[in-house]
Amino acid sequence: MSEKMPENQTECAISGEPDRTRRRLFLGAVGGTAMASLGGFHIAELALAKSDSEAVSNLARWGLLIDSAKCATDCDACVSGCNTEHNLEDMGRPETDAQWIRKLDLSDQQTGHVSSLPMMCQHCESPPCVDVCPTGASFKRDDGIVMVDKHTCIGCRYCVMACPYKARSFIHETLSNQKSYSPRGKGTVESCNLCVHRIDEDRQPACVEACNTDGKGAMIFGDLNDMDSDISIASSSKPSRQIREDLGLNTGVRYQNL
Amino acid sequence: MARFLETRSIKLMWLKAWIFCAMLSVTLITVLVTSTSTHGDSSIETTTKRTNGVSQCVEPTDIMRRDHMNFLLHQRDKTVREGIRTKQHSLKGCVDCHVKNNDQGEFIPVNAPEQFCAACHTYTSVKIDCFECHATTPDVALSENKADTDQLAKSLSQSLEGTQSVHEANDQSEIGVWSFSHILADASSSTLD
Repeated sequence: MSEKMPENQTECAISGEPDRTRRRLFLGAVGGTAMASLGGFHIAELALAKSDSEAVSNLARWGLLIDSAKCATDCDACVSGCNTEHNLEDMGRPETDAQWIRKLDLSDQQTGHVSSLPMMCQHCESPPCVDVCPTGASFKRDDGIVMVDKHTCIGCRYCVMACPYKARSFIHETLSNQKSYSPRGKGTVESCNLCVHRIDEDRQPACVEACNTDGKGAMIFGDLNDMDSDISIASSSKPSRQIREDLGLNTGVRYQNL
Repeated sequence: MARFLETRSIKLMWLKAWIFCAMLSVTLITVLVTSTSTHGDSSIETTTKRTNGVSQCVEPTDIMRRDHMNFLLHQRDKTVREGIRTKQHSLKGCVDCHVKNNDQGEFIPVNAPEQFCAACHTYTSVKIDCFECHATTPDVALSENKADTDQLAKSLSQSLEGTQSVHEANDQSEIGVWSFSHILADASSSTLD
């Protein structure tokens, strides 16, 4: 639009007709100003953090970009950061202990090169866990965060089976000492929610914070829809890939140097 | 014979007197027990140190007693599904305000016997499962974080500003009819039961 406008203006000037385009431009400017003043709050909200009373919107899509080259094999800062944040306690049964994020080492069988990466809910645009949930408890928030509404979860574990990333855990034990911002309980399924309580406060997820402070700074969190965000800039400068991109889920978590 | 009857009637009189005394003492004990338990109930309403002097709940007491479950139901869906995190009807807010401390300064879970949530729910035989998942005490210890207490009082006072209008309009942005001081003045003039 902005590219076409000067061409039109030039044509009008040459033909000598009344410059309607300029008039339209003026009207557009007036209208735009009026719209901006009417919806001023909304414009401000886009730029600033959202208020407590405002619902999330699909204007933002939260995601993670993980640089596998920086992610060290012996580092699990993100895992311990997550466990501390959400109080994921060791129940002494590793097979069924809740695990929102885990470290994976991938070795190239041809060359023997080992890559390390954190694996968690990939926050798909088309999440299979949401498709299979019989109660609607597994859902995608408008800003792209895939999570479980434990009020309506009946613990059927269809989502656990449907997730290609094995990202979901079922709580088998009666829990205590939950954090007030992260309610968890027996009989429900849970997974990484990108620290939704932090995002709503305009803070970074605990794993990213832990990776930056105690780890190697391999994780970038941000708004995938915002072209000026760190994550978008980093994604555009170097190639990144989704895990199991053949499934066409369009994940919100992407990996570089993998 | 007459003397025997006289003795019997005296014995009957004594018996009646004893029965009367026994009934009187039972009545007295009942009254005493009732008054003690009433005192226990009213202590639930008193504010804790944590509330920083806020003496009014987020809604008038009678409305809270009748509708708190509806407030919480709506709030939970708004918070989980839409990310709306207003403090006024949040369960976290209830816990933050109504939790009490023991002699060691530690928080007592709100669902422990005789505590704020459990006291009424035991009495009314309503089983709640909120606290199978939700925290029963605030995250931060009272002594550790004074700033958190101030923050709570501030957010409460902000949310109290919309107390009246919530019943008139669903739109959260239109709240702000009553001022905090106005509510406190009302609260001090009216009893909180």
